[in-house]
Formats: sequence, structure tokens, C-alpha cells
Amino acid sequence: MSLVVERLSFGYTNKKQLEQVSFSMGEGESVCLLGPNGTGKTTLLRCLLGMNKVARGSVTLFGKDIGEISAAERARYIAYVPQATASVFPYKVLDMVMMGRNPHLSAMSSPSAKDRAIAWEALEMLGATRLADKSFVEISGGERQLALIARAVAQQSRILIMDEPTASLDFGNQARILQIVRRLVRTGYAILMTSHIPGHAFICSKAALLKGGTIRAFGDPEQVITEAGMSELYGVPIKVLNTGVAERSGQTVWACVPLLESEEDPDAKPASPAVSRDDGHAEGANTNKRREVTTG
Amino acid sequence: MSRSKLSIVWVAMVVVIVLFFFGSFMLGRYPIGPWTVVRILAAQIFDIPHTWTDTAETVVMRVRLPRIAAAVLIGGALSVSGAAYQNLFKNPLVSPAILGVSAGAGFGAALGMLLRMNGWGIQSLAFVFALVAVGASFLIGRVFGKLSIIVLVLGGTVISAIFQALISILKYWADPIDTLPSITFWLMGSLAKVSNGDIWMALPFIAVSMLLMYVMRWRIQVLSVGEEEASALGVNVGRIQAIVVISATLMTAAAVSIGGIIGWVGLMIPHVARMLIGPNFQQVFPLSLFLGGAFLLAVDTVGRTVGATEIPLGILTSLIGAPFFILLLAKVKRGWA
Repeated sequence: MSLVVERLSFGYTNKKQLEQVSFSMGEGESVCLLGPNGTGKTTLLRCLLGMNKVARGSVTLFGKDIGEISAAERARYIAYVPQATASVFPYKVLDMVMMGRNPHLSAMSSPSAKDRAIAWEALEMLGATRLADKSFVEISGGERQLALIARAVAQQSRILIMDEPTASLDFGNQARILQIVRRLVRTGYAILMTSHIPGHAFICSKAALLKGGTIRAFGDPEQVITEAGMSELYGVPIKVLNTGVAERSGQTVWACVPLLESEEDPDAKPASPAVSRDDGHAEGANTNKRREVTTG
Repeated sequence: MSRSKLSIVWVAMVVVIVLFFFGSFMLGRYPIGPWTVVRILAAQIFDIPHTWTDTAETVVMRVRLPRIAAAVLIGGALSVSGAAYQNLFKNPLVSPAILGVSAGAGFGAALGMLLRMNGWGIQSLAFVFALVAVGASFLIGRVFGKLSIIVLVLGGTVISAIFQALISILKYWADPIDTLPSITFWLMGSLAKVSNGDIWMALPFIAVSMLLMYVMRWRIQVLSVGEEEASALGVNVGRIQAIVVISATLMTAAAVSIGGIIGWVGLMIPHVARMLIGPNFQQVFPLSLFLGGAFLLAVDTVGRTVGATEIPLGILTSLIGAPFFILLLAKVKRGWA
């Protein structure tokens, strides 16, 4: 197993943020972590990346306890793709990607021509070499996400942690990033990603539902992403639809649609949806939710 | 940044430094020809026939040399500290004074003057209190913020405020005939009284700190993407932060204790370096060092040659530096960094 989390608890004495969290992930596996805001997703990611010290329970990377390895060794096992970089300086994309080489450099050295070549290959793999010489401030959100993924690829760690990789991306870019996630998993990466769009779980091999600091369900997305489970997780009625679309792979494409209460008709039943339950025909934002999954 | 443009910047830099260096030896109330300057300097190492006056030798070796060395050393130290702090705090508006080093040094120097200590005593007190101030900021950061960068900066602001207030008390108590003017003058910064001995006192701190930072330059660059990302990229964030704070503090404290408070250099020069060659700390570090040295040397030379009396250095760095910076900003048209 690449990543094993066992009975991990985290939090300050008066407020538990994670309680007895256990799951694992192997090579070529991906886990989509779903949960409402403020439920502990970020805390969990921070524990996996060694930013939060694990006091109770354990996090093991390729058999090694995360608390017992150096920052550099940890970074050779596990890489992080943030939603957006916190950098304020307008680095060139290639320079940013080259930072991924850091855990492979000895304490006092700087990147060599070989590291530069590896960074270039990472950009090549993601079809982003055209960005190499551009400054981070002049490229789009989707391109930045691509560059940050390239940085993680250049890091050559076999586990990737992606914090909402599709956040604030347009529709097409969301699909492109999901495509990349799936491609990386096929090449043997173990990827844990968080998302606020339940449909994204279907492109992963596992789905994990986190609420109130505990894992409510973990397993095959088609079993975990149910109407009852989703409605309970987010506290709003959610419909899970079989779109009937089979991709070239033959997989069924599922869509999750939140059901809104009717605003126009005060006499309607409280839970009455703005969407007809029979044909799953949605309007406005709901249509989006359905389509974006069909692209993944 | 293409390689050819990079080498142009560097060649220009070296030419400027050499020109400023010899130019500064020639200029002053006692003008000396360039050839004489070269021969006097060479005579320190080689055996050359003595064809110049003793006065010229005294002016070059005992008056101008320490001053030129101090300007280059202090300008370089302040600029490099500023560049490293801007990376550490991920904030382009940070200067070396952010953790209270200048306020602490100012208090130490004022205290030394109030106690009628000699030059060496005043410098030592300035140095010690500079370290005390940063240590106190660091302690606040550690106790209240687990060394989070924001709390560290807050700590620096608080400590600076306290030491500023203490400086005011000392000025209030100081004898208005002689002590008060010397405190005020010290706080404006000046290299007029720098001796060769001062240089030898400051040099080891500055040299060792620079070396430490130079060795860590790649890690310092990675740190600029933020603590979380740097940690995920395998940087031992706490250790690198400590190295940056300690080395920047030591070199700034050493610089301030011999030159007084010289503002604006440490904030401006790293930006000039980034405008010229981009944000990579690996290049910003050496370029800041040279640019800072050249800038302070030029300003100090102007300060001591223009006008009947010397203009304090701290005033001139702002008066000359700020318009220069605006000019550059307009020319580069790339905004910050």
C-alpha cells in the first residue's frame, strides 16, 4: 500500500477535527474525498503532508511512519498540488516546476541541468511546454493548475495529494484536469483529491465521505455515492442520475443534481424540487452539474 | 531571463562597481588623480616607488578606504537581508527592519551615548540591542503563534514600537547641548566616523551570514512559495526560516551598529534586482549584494562631496533612492517585482 491512514485523530483538546480516520490507497488507485465545508478535509490533507503533527493514530507512506522521516524524504513519497500557489513573486513556469526537484537535491546544492530536463519532461507530459517561459502572473487559472501539477510530477513522488484541483476552473478546464488525474492514475500514481462536486468521485477508484471529522463511507463510488448518502452528507436533497451515457470505455456516467425548493409556488410541498424527478430535466446551475460529469 | 541578457546585466554591474570604487577614492575635498589612487592601493601589496605625498596616502588609506569599504559592506548587507526577508515573509514590502533590528540598535546606541561610552562601546551596545530586539520578536512569534509568519511580523512591529518609545525617552533625558544632537545624528545614519577597526569588527558577522545565506539560496527561493507548499516540496521550513532570520539579523545588526540607521536601501535594492533579472533568489541574492554596495557607495560619495557640510546618509538614500526607484518603475513598466 502506498498510503495507509490508521485511526488518525487530530484536533485541539476542546475541539476534535478528525476522529478515528482510517483508509488506504495503493498504486494506480485514486480516492475522491467529499464532504461539506469545515468538515476536516483540509486538516486531513495537512496531516498527510506532515504539516499537522500526527499525535494519535498513524500515517504511513510506503511502510514508513510519516513522523519518523525527514521533510525531504516525505516529499519524495508524497507531493501536493494546492488549489493555487501562495507565491507572490512572478516566477517563470519552468522555474516553478523546477522547485519540484527540491527533495532530490542535497542540502546545499541547486538544481542542475538534469533537474531542468526532468522539469521540462513534466511539462511535456502534460502538454504544457508552451508555458515554460511564461510568467505565473500572465497565464490563466487552468494553466496555473497545469503548472502546479507539472511541479508535482517533477517531484517524482508516487502519491499525489490534490486539493480541489478543479476549483475556480471553467467547465472545459475542469474536464481537462480530471482527464489528467485519470491519466496519472493509469501510469501508477496514487492520487487523493478533494472535491465539492460529488460527480467527480466517479472518475476515481474510491470515494470517501468525510463529515464531522469521521469517515462516513469509503469504497467503490457507485456504492458510496447514493442519493441517501449524498443527501445526508450535504444536508440538501440530492438526486443521483444514471445519464445512460456509456463512454468508449463502456462505463456508465453518473450525475449528481441538488434539488432546489420551488420559489415561485408558495403552495407547493416543502421538498418539492425545481426539477422534475422523472426526467431529471434541470435548469440553470443544475444543468451544469449534470454535464460536467458526462465530460469526465 | 535569457542567458545573454543575464550576462549583460552582470558585466554592466561589474563595470559600475569598479567605476564607483575608484571614482569614490578620487572625489572629495582633497582630490586625488586616478593613477595615484591605483598606485597607493597597489603599494599596499607590491613594492612600488613612493611618488605621492603622505597626505594623499593618509586620505586614501585611512579616510576614504574605510568609508568606501563600509558603504559597500553595509549597502550589500542591507540589500541581501531585505531580499531574503522578502522571500521569507512572501511580502515585497518588507525591509530588514521588520523584526525590530534597527529600533533595537538605535536604542543601544542612544543608551551608549547617554552613558558617555566611547565609540566601541556604543557600537557594541547597538549590536547587542539589535539582537535583543529580534530575539524578543522571535520569542513573541514562538510563544503566541508557534512561529507563524504573521505573528512573527506582529511581534517585530510591537518590539519596534517599544524600542522607538525607549529611544524617545533617552532623547528626552539626553543633554540637549551635546548628547541629543549625536543621538539624532546617529539615527540618521552616517559613515563619516567609520574607521578601519570598525570594518574589521563588522566584516566577520557580515561575511559568515552571507555565506550561510548563499549556501541556502535555493531553499530560500523555494520558501517564497509559502510555508505549506515549501514543506510539501521537502523544505524543512522551520530550519530555513531560522537560518534566514539569524543571518539577516547578524548582518543587519553589524551594518547598523557601524553606520547608524540607513533606511530604504534594503527595501528598494531587491526590487531593482528583480526588475533587472527576474524573481529567482539565486540571482537576486548576488545582484542585490552588488547593487546595494554600489548604490550606497554612490550616495555616500555624493553626500560627502556635494555641499559645504555632509548630508546624513539616511536622508540621502531616501532623497536619491525614491525618485530613482520611481524612474525605474516607469521604465520597466512591470509593476512590483
